[in-house]
Amino acid sequence: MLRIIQKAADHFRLGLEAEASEHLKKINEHIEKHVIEEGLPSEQFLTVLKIMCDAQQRGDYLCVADLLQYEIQPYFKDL
Amino acid sequence: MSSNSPAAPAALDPANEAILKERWPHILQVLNDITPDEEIVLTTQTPLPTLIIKGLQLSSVYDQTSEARLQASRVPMDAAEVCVYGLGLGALVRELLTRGRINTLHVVIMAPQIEYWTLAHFNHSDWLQDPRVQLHLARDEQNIRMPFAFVPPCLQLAEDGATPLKDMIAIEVNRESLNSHFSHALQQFHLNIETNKPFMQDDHDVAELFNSKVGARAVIVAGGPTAQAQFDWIKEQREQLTVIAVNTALIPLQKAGIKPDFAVVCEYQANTIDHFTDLNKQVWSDVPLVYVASVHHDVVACWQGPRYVALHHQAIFQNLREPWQRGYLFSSGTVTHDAVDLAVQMGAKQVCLAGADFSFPNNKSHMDNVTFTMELENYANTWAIDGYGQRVKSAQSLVMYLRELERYITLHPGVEFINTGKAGANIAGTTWKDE
Repeated sequence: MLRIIQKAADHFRLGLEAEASEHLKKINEHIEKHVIEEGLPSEQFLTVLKIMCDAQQRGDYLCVADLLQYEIQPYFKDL
Repeated sequence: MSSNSPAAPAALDPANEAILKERWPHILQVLNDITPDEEIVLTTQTPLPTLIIKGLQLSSVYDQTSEARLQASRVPMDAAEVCVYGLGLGALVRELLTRGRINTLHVVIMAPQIEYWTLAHFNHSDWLQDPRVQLHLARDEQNIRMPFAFVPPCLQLAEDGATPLKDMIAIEVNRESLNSHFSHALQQFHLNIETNKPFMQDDHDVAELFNSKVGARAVIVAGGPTAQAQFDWIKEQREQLTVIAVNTALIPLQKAGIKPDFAVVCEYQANTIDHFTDLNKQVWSDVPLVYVASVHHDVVACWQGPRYVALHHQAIFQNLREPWQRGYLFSSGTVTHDAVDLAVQMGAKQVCLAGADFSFPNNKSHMDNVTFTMELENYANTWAIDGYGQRVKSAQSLVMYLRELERYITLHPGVEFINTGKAGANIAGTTWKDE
């Protein structure tokens, strides 16, 4: 998962949105699975997800890349 | 990334301005003529500052050097002349200038009204004064410079005058992923061709249709939203027109009571059959279907009228052994190309395009009554310029098809191409029907 998160972030930084979005789908599935198995994550993490979702919707892909690389990836690394 | 404040209007950074005045006074003039009215935020509470313009960050707020290094990795290490599209905060330009082999670095401003802000809030003088740097405006660039790197948000924020260049860059960037998609589809292509061979054996060759309509006025009915507005005109002019319909337009045409002279299909996916299942087979039994050898065999099998098989120019078709060689149609992935080339190779002197929108006018992907439509939120990732000179939402793939059609049109100066739906993308090389 950490590798996929990095790939998604890199692809967004390179302007390869289609590939990045494919990775993002897998990440979302992983997060959903994580929530089902472990329960709701912290409020802080949920806020990050919300910001990331909004950023993706407005096409702010470098913001999405930052959140993936510097917020989401460390969260899963620490689990 | 959340608590930031709107950036106050600012003059150009004096150091930047001094160099621009000396080296590129015409660009400085353009920048000075701008009325800064964009939604700009200068981040202040992030690890690194950046600009957020129209909701888009111009750079990472964590590690701009690593980001620039990644973006620069598109450019081969031995390249001597390189181009960067978009200024961003200047990190990508700086990264490339660290390469000793580079002797010329073209830097292209994609939108002066956007890049004004980075030249106002950040000091770019270090790279602006580098003698290897040549600064350009995207609106003046006719062709893409290779090899290149780019700052993605600067492409998203490109001005209208830079749209053709922006599209060329995006097509080049996406070529790799399109090739990968094509190679993924290749297996299905092979399978479809094999299963179609019993049909191909008995069906006509599309080449039999070539030069069969010399001097004709053809209308291509594609699946875009603006097609429907032409149905009354098609009915009125029906006797004078050769009507060629792509598969997505068949059901809407049936509902409108229009029977085309030819139906065309090129899609390889199994669900293409959905465009055919509701057709009244008796009514359509004398309409010829032109199909590409790689379409799903269910589509070929369902057609009870005459059938003509065609090939595309990709290697998979060119490599077919002699008994399976047939006439070729131009297509870069959309059946609209096949239909246009069919009209041209049949000898049409005028090709009228209905519903060739290559965009999502009025937030619709297709005209009414088509079998399935696209979810815009998943596909609308860029824009085209419509017939009114305004931006219209589009998808990267549609823009690629648009540019390929424009290239095709330039190669056929003897044919008059007419576009009909001004709410759809403007197609260079066409004139408008009602003008």
